Amino acid sequence: MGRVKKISITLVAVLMVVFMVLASTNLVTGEEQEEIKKISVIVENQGESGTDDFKRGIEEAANAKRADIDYIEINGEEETEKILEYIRRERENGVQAMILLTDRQQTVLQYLESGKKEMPLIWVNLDSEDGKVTANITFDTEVMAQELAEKIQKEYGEQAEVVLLTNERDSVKKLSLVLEQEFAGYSFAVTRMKISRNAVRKCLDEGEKKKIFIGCSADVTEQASLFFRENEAVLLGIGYSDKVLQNIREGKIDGVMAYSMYSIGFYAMQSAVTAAEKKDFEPEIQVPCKWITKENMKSEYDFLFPIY
Amino acid sequence: MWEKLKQKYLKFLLKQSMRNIIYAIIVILTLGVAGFVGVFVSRNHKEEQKQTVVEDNQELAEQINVSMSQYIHSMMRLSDTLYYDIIKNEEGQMEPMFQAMYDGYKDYVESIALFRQDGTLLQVKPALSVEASQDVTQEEWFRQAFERSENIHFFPPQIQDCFEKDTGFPWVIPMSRFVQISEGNFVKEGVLLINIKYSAMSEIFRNNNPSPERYAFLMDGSGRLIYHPRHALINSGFMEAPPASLAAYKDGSYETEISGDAVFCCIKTVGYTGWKIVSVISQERVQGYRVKSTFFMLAVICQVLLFFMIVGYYLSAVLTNPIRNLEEDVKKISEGDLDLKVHTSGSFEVYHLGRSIQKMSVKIRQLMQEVIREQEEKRKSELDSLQAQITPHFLYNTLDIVVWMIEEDRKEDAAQIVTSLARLLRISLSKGKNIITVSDELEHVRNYLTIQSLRAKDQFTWRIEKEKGVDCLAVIKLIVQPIVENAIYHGMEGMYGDGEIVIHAYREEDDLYISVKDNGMGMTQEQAEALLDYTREVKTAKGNGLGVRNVHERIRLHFGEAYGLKIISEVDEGTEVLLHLPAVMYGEHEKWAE
Repeated sequence: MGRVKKISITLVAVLMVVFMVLASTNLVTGEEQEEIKKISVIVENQGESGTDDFKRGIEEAANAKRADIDYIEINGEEETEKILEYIRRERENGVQAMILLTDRQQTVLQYLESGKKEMPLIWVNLDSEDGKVTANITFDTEVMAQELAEKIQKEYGEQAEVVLLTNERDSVKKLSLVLEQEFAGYSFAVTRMKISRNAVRKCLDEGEKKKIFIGCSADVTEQASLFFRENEAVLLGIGYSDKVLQNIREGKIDGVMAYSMYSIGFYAMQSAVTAAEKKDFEPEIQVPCKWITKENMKSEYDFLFPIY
Repeated sequence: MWEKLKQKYLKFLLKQSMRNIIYAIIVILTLGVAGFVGVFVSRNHKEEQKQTVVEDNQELAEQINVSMSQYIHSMMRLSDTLYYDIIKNEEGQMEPMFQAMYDGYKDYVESIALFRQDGTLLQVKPALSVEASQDVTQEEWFRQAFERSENIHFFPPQIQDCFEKDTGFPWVIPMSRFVQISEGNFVKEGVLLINIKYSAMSEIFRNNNPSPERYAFLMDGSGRLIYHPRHALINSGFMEAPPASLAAYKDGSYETEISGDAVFCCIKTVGYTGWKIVSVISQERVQGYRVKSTFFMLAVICQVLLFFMIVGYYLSAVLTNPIRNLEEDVKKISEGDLDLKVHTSGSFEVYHLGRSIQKMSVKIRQLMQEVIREQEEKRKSELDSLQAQITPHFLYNTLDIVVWMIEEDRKEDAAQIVTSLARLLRISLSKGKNIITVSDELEHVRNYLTIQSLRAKDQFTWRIEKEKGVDCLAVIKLIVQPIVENAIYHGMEGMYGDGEIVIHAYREEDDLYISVKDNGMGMTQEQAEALLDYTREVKTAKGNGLGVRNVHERIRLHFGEAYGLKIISEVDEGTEVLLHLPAVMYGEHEKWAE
């Protein structure tokens, strides 16, 4: 067989193989057979509203990013050991990243540190321990506090006394500390107090200044709204629930700084998937807050109530 | 320019073998046909694929449309039942009937409410009260009901917030209509509001949305989204909303861009509401299929081409090998190999061509042999006729001498001459044979010399010597006599009694030599060479050397080029003419032509 013929037959055979390979793979089309990522979501339900929205955000992001989620909702009263057991089991199942929404940060982090396997950890809460979590998703506390402080300053000036209401939850206490620090530069006085009817009533009766109560979580705000009579005090809040919004409509709460748990859930899942794929991602994500009052609530329904 | 290209092409083509040309034709034809078919099939396939995708899309939209229409009609039936069967007729039993209707539809309906024209609530199920701060007469669903009292109105999803409620802010799709309420003897105007559960309606779409790349959404006539699988993402700003302009499209299939992606979309209008169902499939996936489909087609073309290249190689070999063999045979024949057996394998035409060439080769060989034979015969007959010319001349002279001798009363000499002449003639004739024995040839020469010496009257002496065993060897007739004649006429000139001619016949292995030596005047080397060269004319005073040449040619003609005459001469010294023949016994000479 002549040389030219040999070369041409070989060339055609090679081309045939190349085209077959290209036809049966995604080398040229660029489609990536995306691996389905396994992501675990552990949510400690403390009775806070917004959990459904958070879950919905997680699911939407998982759907868009081709992730398989293992969503575990644990009761806030469950023992820490049980929470750790869930975490251990998820790690053994080979999850590629974990999203945690819990107050028991220290315990969980210590437990995770002791494990051999490194895994991206997405923390949904305030003030994560630097370096110990992969990414932290929360709302923009600084901007929120400043906006709140500006409103109070503008409305009441140094005639006001801000009372930050907390409960036993660590996250709420932390938020109150942040607010206290942020409010320090303003002319109004700031105190912190654990919510109870007696404490609130006592505080209300004390002093001459106008009391501005700020519930540092939606359930605290909700609880506080029961303690006041009409127009007795100014009650503001951080976070919202259906009841809080209803109370705003009824005039029992003057306004709240609302943040979208749906957005937080969406960003958390997005970060978890990106981290599992070992790509670059934003380690700190803060979702914006909106000031919700009776007047503007209707126009913010899309923000307050993700439609699904 | 075309001419030049054509010339170049023809030049190139002429250098190619038939096998290469056939192979190239097969390959080019295959490529052309396979390529054409491949492109045609690929295009058709792509069109069909696109058509399939469009049809799938249409089917999805149709499916959803059917479900949506049924749902809408079922809600409208509810509204009609509430209005015509309850509100218009059943004043006293409105509440239980409202409750009954609500209970029957509560999986699909969030609430049912009846308002008076001033916005006061007449009936509501479940048990709710209007939110104190709400003025329902300012709501769009309320105003539209009055503005267009003949229609049932559907509105985009909104939060149900006109009632005080402890259980959240649900998303609903308000459906309102103008009603005439019978209150006692009065007929008053009002609005019937049915809040359809958004989740119940969205279930229709969720059941038909297979993947993120293929989904459907719903928008109203002005482009406001009613349902979208990513509605929450769009509202939160994580995703771009589809263009509102889609609502203006008529029912049909389109290629457009949604949220930055090129898509195929199919639009279907839901009856009565004017809502648009938009089913979408990403073009990227289809594009991916198309690219893969193209590569697959190319692979198939290469496969077909490869197959025909291999087949073409063997086919061209099968077709052209017999012709190549024939060509090689013809080349060998042209180089002189006429005994070659020509290849005749192959097709019918090649077989016949081979046979014809074979016959032609044989014919050529025969003709050549015939020509050679004719040439030889011609030369022989020329030589023979030449030879024949020599003898009569000698006869005339000898008879003249006999007459002179008789007249001179030299009767014994005359008798001896006549006797020798008779013997000479007898041997000359030799019964027509051309080959005689050495003994006869020498006897012939003896008789000749006897006659010549008598004529010349002792001008020269002569002797014949022969070795043992040469007598029976074969020689051509009358080859020695012309040489002796030359020796007498040229060699003995001026030799008055001193001349000597010696004839010596001897054998050396397979060769017979007959030497004719004289001590005459000799000749130069050039003259000696010219005598034997046919191409050179030799003119002497006593002849043109034909006799010597004749003998030389006759010997070579009969015995081959290796034999013949050799002349050794020196001027004034003498000449020796050596006849070289093969030593063949008389009787075994038949292989030479007579």
